[in-house]
Amino acid sequence: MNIHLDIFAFLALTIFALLILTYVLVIQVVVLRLVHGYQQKKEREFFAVWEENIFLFLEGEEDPRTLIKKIRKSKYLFLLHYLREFFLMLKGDDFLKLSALVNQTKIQPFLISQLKSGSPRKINEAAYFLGLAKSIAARDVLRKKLKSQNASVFLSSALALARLNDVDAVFDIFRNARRFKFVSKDSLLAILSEYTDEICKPLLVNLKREKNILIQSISITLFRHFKFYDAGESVLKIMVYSQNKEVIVESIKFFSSIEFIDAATALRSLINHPKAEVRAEVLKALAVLGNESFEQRIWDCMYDPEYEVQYNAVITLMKLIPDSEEKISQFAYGNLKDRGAAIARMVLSERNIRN
Amino acid sequence: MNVIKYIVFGFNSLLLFYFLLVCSIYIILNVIAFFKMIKYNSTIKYLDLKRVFKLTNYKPISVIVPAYNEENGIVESIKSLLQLEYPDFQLIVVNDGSKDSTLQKLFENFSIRQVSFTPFYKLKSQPIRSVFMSSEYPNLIVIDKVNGGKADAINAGVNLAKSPLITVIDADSVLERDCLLKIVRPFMEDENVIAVGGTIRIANGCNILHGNILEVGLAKSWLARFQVVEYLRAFLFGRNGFDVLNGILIISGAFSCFSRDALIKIDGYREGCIGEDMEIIVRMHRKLRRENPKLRITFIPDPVCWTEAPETFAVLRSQRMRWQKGTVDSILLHKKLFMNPAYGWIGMLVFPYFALFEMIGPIIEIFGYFFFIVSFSLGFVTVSFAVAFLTTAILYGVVLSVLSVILEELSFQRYPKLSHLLTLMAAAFLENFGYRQITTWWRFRGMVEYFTGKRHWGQMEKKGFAKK
Repeated sequence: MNIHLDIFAFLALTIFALLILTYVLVIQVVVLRLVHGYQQKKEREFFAVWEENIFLFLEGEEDPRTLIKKIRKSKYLFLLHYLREFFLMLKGDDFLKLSALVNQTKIQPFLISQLKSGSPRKINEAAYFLGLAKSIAARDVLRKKLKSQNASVFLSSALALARLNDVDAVFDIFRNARRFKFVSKDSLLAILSEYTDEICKPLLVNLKREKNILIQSISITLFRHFKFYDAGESVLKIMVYSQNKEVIVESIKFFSSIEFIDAATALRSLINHPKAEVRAEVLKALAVLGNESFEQRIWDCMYDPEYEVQYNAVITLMKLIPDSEEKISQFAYGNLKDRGAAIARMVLSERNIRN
Repeated sequence: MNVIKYIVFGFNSLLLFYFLLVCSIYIILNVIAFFKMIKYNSTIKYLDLKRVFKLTNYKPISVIVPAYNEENGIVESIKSLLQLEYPDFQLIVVNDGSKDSTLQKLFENFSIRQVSFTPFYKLKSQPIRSVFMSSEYPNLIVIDKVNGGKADAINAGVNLAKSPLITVIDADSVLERDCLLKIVRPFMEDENVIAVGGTIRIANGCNILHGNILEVGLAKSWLARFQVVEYLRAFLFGRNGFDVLNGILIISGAFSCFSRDALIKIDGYREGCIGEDMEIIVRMHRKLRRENPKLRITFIPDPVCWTEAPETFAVLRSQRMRWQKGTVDSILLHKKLFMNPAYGWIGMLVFPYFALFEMIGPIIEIFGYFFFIVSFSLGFVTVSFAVAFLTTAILYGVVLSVLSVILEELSFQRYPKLSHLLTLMAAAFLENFGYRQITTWWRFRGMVEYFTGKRHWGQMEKKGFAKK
């Protein structure tokens, strides 16, 4: 019995220890909250004092170094937090003036030294502001940070390089992204769309030999985003041979966005693609790229087993064929038991209500 | 006498082991959830979702809102839902044969007119009387149908849904504006995802205007505060933890998103089911994942939906008894999954966990407390054992509740004031002394009622947010 007593006492003590440990964590969390609250208060006080000076600087001719000299190093991040929205909003000369506050003053070396530190939090914050201010001086350090084992450091550095429009870093970003399982297509697109359309040319050169489906798909999405017409031929070749639904759908959307008429014939063969998503997307594109010769094929799609395809067939007919509404109306109300006609009635009904 | 003493001691030791096991499983889930949240937050932090959705091949969504006698809040609720941020969604409000003026309110406020609409699918539901569209809001559709209950109303909505993704929400839920952008991401990242749930939070005490949360706050009543901690524990590390094993067995009916094809394939929601939100997920595992084990039912930890918690004992009791009946119903309907290796982790770990701890748990706990008190009073257990038992049954629970508040603070930090944090810490401590035992008792009663044939839903009164 004594042995049991010891076991139970040990169990109770272990849980007590766990409880104490938990409350140590509670204290830590509360202290963190207090520190955070104190910093926010200090930040608000800083804004109240410096807001006018910053506006005067943006309106006047003051040397940025003169302004920054008046601010203590420990307050640099307060200033940057204040300027964050301005960085995102301002363009042209106003932006250049604002970025001079970082790029021509001691703030830049301060941020670069933060970037070289070992703390992911400091690195991420520094990368964010260096990217916003387009600090070219930070480029090399940022490129090295792409190799970091920490996913957030990789993402923040990649974002900063994209904002710097460092086109040469694109393939380093792709290469290093593969190391992290949860860096998705979304994350990469969010980053790469920060580049200007200069990114398209190297992506096009790469696309011609690229086998990776994710990179193919991202490249085509970016071509659509920047309406990069020159990629039309290459994307058409990829689409014709691709087995991947996402690549095919992205390609169709791209052709539609740049009105690439040469793709119309290839789209005709995709009308019978096994995936309904592809068939529906083809119909949407044909509303832009097709002509009257497609009419019968589109009518046939009204009997597709998938609703999306039927629906888009009606919409495309209406957009593509002049005076088709009357014909569709006759079909819709003349075949009350027909499923295709039911969809047509629904589309007509929707249109009437909207008009 | 000695033999009896040993038997009683052995039985008490088993009960102690039960409490130890259940809390230890939660501790493990907590650790798993912590690392998952760190990963999730570091990814989402750099995503400007609105920007991404302009670029990507997003999927349209049909949002289905079943409404029964919702005249007080329906207008506010729909106005708020129409403001959701998403590039392409339709809102389908299903008036499930309301006896009040719900439909009339929709006529008066949204310029709806009858249209010709053909159901695309044939899920079982009560007859649809008419379908309406709004000339003011092109993405708003109203279905008026014969009353058939929530599951039936959702099925009717699915039959008319145009989009490949279906989101089901409660008419009285308050959604975050970007909730659709967040809930859709798992579907876009992985074609195998068939259902996604999000974190539900308690809205009592929050400042809500026109269906939008203006300021997050805490309720004045301790009953609601205890529920805040309970929800944090259930969502932040319960579901997050199970998600790592692809072991989500329940997605809250207040906010869930499904692939339409998956819903059609399993014939939609089961009519007349008490806990339809759990039942449908278990059925998805049973029918769809058996065919294709790669399919995923997943969970995003973002707080996306806020709901009103009961603030009186009577309403809370009714809710908890109903939940327990739902759990029992779903588990018994799909008992084939129990310890069935064909279903992988679900069959061998998650389903048995739910059966043992969520279904039978209240019986063991209530019986355990009773047996312990009796045997301690009769001197059958030692003081050392008594301390160990109470420490495990109560203090281990305190550890878990406090850890859930810490996890919230380290991840989303949605409660802005220090006083909120301290109040939650206090609630996390106090809820283990009385509240938890009372809810266990209600769950126990729910089970008894289920097995004695009282399987009706019961009433759930809500104050509503409309006037706040």
